[in-house]
Amino acid sequence: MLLEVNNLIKRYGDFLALDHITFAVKEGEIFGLLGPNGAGKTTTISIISSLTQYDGGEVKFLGKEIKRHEMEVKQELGIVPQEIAIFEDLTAYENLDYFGRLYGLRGNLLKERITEALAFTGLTDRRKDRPKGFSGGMKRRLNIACAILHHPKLIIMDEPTVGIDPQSRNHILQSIKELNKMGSTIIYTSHYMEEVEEICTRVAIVDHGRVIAQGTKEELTALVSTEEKLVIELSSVNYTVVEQIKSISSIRECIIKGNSLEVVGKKGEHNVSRVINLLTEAGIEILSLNVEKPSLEAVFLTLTGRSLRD
Amino acid sequence: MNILSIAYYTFIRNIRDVKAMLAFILLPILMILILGKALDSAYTPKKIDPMNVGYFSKDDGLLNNSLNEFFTAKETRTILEVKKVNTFKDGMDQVKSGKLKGLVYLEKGMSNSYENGEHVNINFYSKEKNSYVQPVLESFVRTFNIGNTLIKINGQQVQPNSNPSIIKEVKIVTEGKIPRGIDYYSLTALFQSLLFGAIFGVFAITKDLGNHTNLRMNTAPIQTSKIILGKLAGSTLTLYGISLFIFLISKFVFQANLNGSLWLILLVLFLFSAIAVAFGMILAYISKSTMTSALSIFIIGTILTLVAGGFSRMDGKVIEMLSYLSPNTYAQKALFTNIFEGTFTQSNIFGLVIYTIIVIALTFITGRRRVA
Ligand SMILES: Nc1ncnc2c1ncn2[C@@H]1O[C@H](COP(=O)(O)OP(=O)(O)O)[C@@H](O)[C@H]1O
Ligand SMILES: [Mg+2]
Repeated sequence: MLLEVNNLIKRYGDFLALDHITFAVKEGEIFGLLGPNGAGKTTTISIISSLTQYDGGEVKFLGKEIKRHEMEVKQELGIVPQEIAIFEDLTAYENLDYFGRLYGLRGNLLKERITEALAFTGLTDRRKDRPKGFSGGMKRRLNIACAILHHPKLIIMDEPTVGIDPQSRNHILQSIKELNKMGSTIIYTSHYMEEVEEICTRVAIVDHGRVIAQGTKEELTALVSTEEKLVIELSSVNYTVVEQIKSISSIRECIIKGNSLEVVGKKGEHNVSRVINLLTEAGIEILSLNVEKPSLEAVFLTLTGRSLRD
Repeated sequence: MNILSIAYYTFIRNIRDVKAMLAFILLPILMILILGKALDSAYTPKKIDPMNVGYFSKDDGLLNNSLNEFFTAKETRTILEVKKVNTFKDGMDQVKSGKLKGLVYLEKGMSNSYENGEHVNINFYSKEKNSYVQPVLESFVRTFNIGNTLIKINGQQVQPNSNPSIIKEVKIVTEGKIPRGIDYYSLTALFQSLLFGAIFGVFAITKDLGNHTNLRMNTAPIQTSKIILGKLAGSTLTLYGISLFIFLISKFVFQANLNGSLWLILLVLFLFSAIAVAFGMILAYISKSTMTSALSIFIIGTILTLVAGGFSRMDGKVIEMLSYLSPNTYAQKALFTNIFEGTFTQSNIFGLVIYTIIVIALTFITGRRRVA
């Protein structure tokens, strides 16, 4: 295990921000921390990066307690803070030079790494500019560049796509995958379920300072999904068919939405073929059919009774 | 060295803050102008009783005649009451007993030597190091030496109970030894503005809170104390640069008398810049706010300047005691005594060093507290 977080407790006064948070990150994976605002993601990351002290539990990096090996561990971490953390009064190049030096890089190696990070984040052309004139997306990219200069073993990204346009967001998600391919382990926190679903190999769902579920996406959805949802687009709809579908015992719900039917039923009861049979018998043409797999959103909803974006 | 990188970039970021740089260069210049010019009369002693000075001349030529004329001139007599003495020994005795404030003595044949183009000395003996008879004599020499400087004042200090032959050379300055308003205020206003320059210490902390770079610095593998030291060094360098610039302006543009030991001036300005920056960092670490810190700097800085006599000289036991809480007191005294009396007062320099150490220690204490 690259990182082990065991029963981490953090209090702010009487408020329990982290309540026995436990998860582990393996070398080479993109590990997602998914949870709504206020769940405790940033607090967890602050503790891992030795910014914040904690009240109980332990954090181990490569088996070493981080409290006792602070500098050693810090050298191996690359932190992308939730808030953009760059010097507005220094150029992109100078920002990288400054932070590179803080991680002990010097001379030609430092120059190489800066060139590499600029190219990787697509900022080479703007290296001599101060971030004042940068778009939100460019600032976010510089924020990432500053964290990868020293080739850290573990890159921790705290909501790196907040407040930017879809194009920059895709660029960032792609580069995270690329970093991972090049050998970095990544912890990715977000309250955007789609992002986590897209890039993470394993996920811990966090709420109210607790991990309420963790595993691969498949493991998580299997955990909660006993139902499946069919969305069927039809040439026309007639009510007799709807009644017939509703009368199937394994089907719980059938709703008409314009020219479409949304059918929710128990998994594994051949609902798809039964519904198709009824429709063809009634002479209704099926334009499209989609079986929706449950999303992490649904997992969260089922486990907490709330939506992620509440 | 991480500390050097932090110091370097702190310095670069400071000097890129054009508004702050301009403000902190113009502020002291304005203050020196206003205080120095407007309060000139308030500072300069208003009425001086003429000083009793003895005169004994073995010379009977041109110099003796001119000096006699000079002593009896109306302008001279408002300052000096010159009394001829019969022998050199009589004059020296009166100086020692305090009856006379000084003795002016011309050697035999001086005028001849002078006319032959030789260098000659007008001897002046006094018990006081900073007697203002000397500048008066110098003004005589200046009017006499049109173009060639053959005559020098040979200022000598008489030790109270010693043989007249054991005399101590006194440093002679070309300008008056009585500080004028501009001399006084160019220093006090400089130190006051340097206190306000504590804002560069504040910036070193609050700017990093504002753009969240403190997070990045604190997650980097570098000890907090090194970060503090780097920032302290970078901002101190900035303020030190400003202080040297103001010093040069005071000296060469305002023509203030700042002819003390250059090393001492460099040292005092450096220590003072460090004190101011550390003071700003402490306020920023405690308040975490630029506005609160700036306001505190303004209020505390004004009080520290006031008790140190930065606006006008103040007297009284309480003020004197309070004045030792102000770093300005040590800095001003160290420089004034050096410039106007030609001495090094170790207690003031020592006081300033101790002050620096205490303030920097407090910076580390406040800066290392971890934010929960
Ligand atoms: N410095 C703090 N003082 C008090 N409460 C805090 C502090 N930082 C975070 N919290 C609280 O702790 C909880 C977790 O916050 P955070 O870790 O930022 O959540 P997330 O990053 O998942 O949105 C929130 O309820 C937040 O209000
Ligand atoms: Mg957060």
